[in-house]
Amino acid sequence: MTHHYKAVILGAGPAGLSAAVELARSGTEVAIVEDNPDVGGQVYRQPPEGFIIKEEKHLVARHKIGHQLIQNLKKLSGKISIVHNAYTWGLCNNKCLAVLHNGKINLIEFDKLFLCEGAIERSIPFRGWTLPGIMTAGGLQKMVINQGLLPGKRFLLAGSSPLLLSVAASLVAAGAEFVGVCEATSYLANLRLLPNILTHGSLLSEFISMQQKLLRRSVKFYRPYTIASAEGEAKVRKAILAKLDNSWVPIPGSETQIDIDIVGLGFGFLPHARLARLCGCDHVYDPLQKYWKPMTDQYMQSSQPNIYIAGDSKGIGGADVAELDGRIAGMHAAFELGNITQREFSDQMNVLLNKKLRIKKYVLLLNQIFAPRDGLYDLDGDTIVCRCEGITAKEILAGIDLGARDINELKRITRFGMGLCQGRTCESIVTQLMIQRDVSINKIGYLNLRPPLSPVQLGTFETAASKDIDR
Amino acid sequence: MYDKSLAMRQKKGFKRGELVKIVYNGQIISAYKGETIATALIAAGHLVSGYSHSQPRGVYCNIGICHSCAMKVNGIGNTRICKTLVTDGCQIESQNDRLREIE
Ligand code: FES
Repeated sequence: MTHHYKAVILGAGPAGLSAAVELARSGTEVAIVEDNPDVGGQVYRQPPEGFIIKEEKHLVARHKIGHQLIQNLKKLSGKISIVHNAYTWGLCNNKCLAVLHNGKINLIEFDKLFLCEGAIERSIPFRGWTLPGIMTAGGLQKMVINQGLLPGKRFLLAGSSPLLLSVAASLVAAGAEFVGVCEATSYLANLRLLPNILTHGSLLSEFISMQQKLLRRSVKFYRPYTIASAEGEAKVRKAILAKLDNSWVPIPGSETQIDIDIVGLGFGFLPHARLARLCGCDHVYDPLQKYWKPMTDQYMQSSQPNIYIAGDSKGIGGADVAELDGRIAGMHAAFELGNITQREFSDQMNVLLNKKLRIKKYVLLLNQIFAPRDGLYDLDGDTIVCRCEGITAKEILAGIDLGARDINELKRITRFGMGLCQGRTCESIVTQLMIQRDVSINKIGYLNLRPPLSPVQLGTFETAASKDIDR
Repeated sequence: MYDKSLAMRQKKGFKRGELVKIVYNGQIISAYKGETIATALIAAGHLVSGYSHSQPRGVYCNIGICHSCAMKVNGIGNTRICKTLVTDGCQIESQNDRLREIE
């Protein structure tokens, strides 16, 4: 079936929802296409249907913002259609999305497209990281606070991200028997940022008070440490932690071992911009955060006409920046579509841009403090890099030594990234291994994506094709 | 392979709705409406979601990205169970059983 909307938004997180609200307010008909059964994205996820959840104190403020945003959305429901459980797997002529919904293929045409795909967690491999029971910190938090399942008794959180403290608090509140937090970031190494940190005094005090609270609840901190390996047969049982030097290389002899049931890994986030790549939007590499991100102008317009990219999918900025991004993009499109006047546009836009400038300073500082260092990618040869296909670091390095300079070439040689996830998890790891071998990032590039972006049953195409003939 | 479950549904702060039954590899498991299949299986002690080259994998990202949790749900293969909600009577099968038998 083919549908047409003036504006189509991919992703119902903070960026997508705010863009929708802005557009709908101006009278524009909007469709939101969302992979999940619910709206809100990872940060503003609402309780599942039939659940009533009493919120934890440390999350109340965040959830209030999300709740407000979703209320605003509901008020405009006459203008906004939401397609849930809809997986966007392709794109035709940069004019139309191919979406899998209820087992059928839908084509959704747009005049303006907003890519708000959000973020994914950065994966850092170590020996044993593929064992069941080892998950991303964000995924673990979703299980605990949204689904109400505490998947074990003894937990280890490891990584480098402000998220770890929040997840630790959630685990403690849920009654975990033991919580260890293993942080790669050392405070000493961040001393040079102190003047900046002090100008954002609330950041520092919030951080300290949260940590104090966790210490009182006997959360154990290891800093600067990382998880060096994990052991177990059918599931993880043991974690080996190692102290890190200034470039985050494990110091030999510093290992210590703990018994745990579940590990949550939080090494920061990467932009999830699959569609932006498929659309051929220009990207730029961010050497501090070690990721590629799509480029946009200040109104969030990508290098492709009529395609906006907002929120974390254009570079990690968090929910507050994402919300502003979404509003900016939505307002700009509303103006271009002739639905708001020049006057309205310039008045409101200036306010938004200034507000974003202020928040960005704070985000930049956080990103600097937690930025991943090279030592994380000092891998044991036998460490699995590609989870789906079981390709090890040794095999990846052998491919580079064979002369592969472009990541797509390396993929063909080693078969990494050819499993179900199509490189979503391992691409960033492989990129760093190539950089480690002195390949320049411009030669490396990024994986070419081809539809379908996720598995689609062949029969679905057959049904779609026979319908098309009728049309 | 079943692990004795260490997982626990939280009671404090959570009110759940309707109980449903799902079928996993022929075994009946109770779950609450609103839970993902991943939640229901882990609560029942099934932490292993599949195998890659004979090594076990479990739910990893829990948000539909990594495909580590792919299973056959009501006949549709490669369904990400971490973002698929349970429905009464839904049939779930893990995908690498043959591989498991060989071992
Ligand atoms: S656990 Fe990653 S897709 Fe389900």
